[in-house]
Amino acid sequence: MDATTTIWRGCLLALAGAMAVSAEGASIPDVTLALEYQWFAHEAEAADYAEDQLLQAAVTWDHLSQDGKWRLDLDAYVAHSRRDDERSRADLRSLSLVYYADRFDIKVGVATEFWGVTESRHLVDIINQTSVVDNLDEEIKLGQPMIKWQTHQDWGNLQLFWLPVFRDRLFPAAGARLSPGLPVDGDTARYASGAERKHQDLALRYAHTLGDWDLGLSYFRGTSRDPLLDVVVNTAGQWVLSPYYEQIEQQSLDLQRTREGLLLKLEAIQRHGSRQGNYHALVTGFEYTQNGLFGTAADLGYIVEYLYDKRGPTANTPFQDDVFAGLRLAFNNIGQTTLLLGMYQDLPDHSQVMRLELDTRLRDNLELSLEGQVFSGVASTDLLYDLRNDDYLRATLRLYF
Amino acid sequence: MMSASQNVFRNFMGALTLVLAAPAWAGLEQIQKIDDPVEKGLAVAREIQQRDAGFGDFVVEAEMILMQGEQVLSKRTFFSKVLEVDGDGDHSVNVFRSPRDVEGTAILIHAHGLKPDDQWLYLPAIKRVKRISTRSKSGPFVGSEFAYEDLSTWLPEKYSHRFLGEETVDGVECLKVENVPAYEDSGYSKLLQWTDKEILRPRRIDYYDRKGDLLKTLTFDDYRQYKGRWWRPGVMTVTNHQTGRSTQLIWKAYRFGTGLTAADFVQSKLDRMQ
Repeated sequence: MDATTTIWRGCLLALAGAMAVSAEGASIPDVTLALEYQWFAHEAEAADYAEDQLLQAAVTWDHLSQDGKWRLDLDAYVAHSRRDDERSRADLRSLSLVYYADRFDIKVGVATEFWGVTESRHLVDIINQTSVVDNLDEEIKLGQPMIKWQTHQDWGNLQLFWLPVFRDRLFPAAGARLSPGLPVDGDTARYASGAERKHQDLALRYAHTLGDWDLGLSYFRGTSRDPLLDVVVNTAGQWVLSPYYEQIEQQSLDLQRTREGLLLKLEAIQRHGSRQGNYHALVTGFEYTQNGLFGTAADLGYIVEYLYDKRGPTANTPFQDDVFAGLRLAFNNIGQTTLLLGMYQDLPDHSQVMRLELDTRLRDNLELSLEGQVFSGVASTDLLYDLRNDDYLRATLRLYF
Repeated sequence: MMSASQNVFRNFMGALTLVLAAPAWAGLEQIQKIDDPVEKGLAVAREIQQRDAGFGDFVVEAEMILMQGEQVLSKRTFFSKVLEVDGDGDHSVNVFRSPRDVEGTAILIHAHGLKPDDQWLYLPAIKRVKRISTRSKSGPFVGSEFAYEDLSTWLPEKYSHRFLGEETVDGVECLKVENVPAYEDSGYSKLLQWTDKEILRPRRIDYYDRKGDLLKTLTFDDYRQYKGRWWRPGVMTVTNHQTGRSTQLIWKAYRFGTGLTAADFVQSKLDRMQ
């Protein structure tokens, strides 16, 4: 039985359980349709197309039992991309059953868990696998099978996770845009653990608020979510990148001080067990918000963060010694329009990545998002060098039924 | 877990507050005797606060209709849970049901009167809880004509008060008081508030912008009494005189005394507050 079968079996059990508790429920599933159009500004050697379209349909059903003790959370989607087969898939972001007691709760099923405080990178966020094929920003997550127990006490919030199944990272298909120089061949994936995807991962997190400070301390032991990519020859005799998933132990800290308009943020990790040796990494900076810009209702936020990884140029992240500077404009209008403009600047090699995100509600059931990246002056030694011709703009219309 | 004995204790304390507070109700006649307008304004504010003290907690459903003249621009629905906190501002959480793109988004607020509030935002799409900056009091609440400060906990110490006289609003006898915000970053230079003499709740508030011009008017309608004591409006309508836009906020299905405690208003429980 492979990992996927385990996931589905778990999900069916969770669903059956949920049906049983929600027999009297009145809530109905919601459907969302997303239509995405992506333009690329330049020609690229590896991929011979200048635009791509994606259609995604999602079903969400968030159901709370009458007594407020049980909850079912379903979030499933199916997507079809014209150009990138790795983006065409059906998957579950969530199918979980939660039991709420006064001081604790327990969640069983597939779910998403977010940890952290910074904006430019989510360093401490480790529970879920990332879909790099859906967005380079590492914010698109894959549902993670888990049992989560947490308790809410005066001394803070303590969470325990058992993660029985590992999910591989999703990379663009061979011949797709936004790919590394060689295609990533997921079929050649290797795991440090003999149990491969069935290694039992564990995580522990403590979070607490003390006045202006929000603190999170976490521990993770298991399969690293971010693989190292090694050049190998696959069974078809092609040179490809092969993901190698290490067994790691990681301690992390996330910290935020909130005072009036100024937020100070820090995320730091210490990782053991990597074949690259033990290392630490951090993201730290501030976000300052200026309210009522020029007498209007708009708020303007200034974000500056520094990103560091001890491994330097050998790190599997391009953000090993970089500064991120961004502006976030919240119009506070009826469409609740927000605009983010940001730039990552690599300090040693001067490579730049510029990023744009815009979200606005056109009607109460229709949302428009624009997202784009520009790679500028990328050094040949930088991990982003292979993306130098992949400047893109992506427009997504989301229709809610 | 809250034990039965704690519940009994809480009910007992509630009853005690009621008994202790009762003599203060006679305060209206005392207030009438005060000559100094500043002293009298403060006395009115304290009376308003005392009459509403002891409600414990309530849950309510809300619908917000954003309009330009007669044309409906957008609608939002959300529900609120509010917990009274002794000696501080209320704890509250607002959870959006619509529009769909913000469904499940929750805002947790620990209000603190003059000190900035603590606020957390829960974004269900990415399951992220964000502690957010609390200075944007004058900013619009979800694009409506209500500012965050209009909907935050009302406490006497947040304003300096001046009694202006008695006036009738829509046939209701009211006490008219000028309130000047004492907290930082307010969008207003002053508020004129007409408070119902009978139930000691606001009937109308005129907001003046920082330049001193009339900005908007908020009216409170369809007051109902809950649990034989606490008055809450069924409709609040705010009209912006400078833009012609208005927002109607309809409150439905108030439930008082639902047994909420401070332990329910913590960020780690935001995802269950749906």
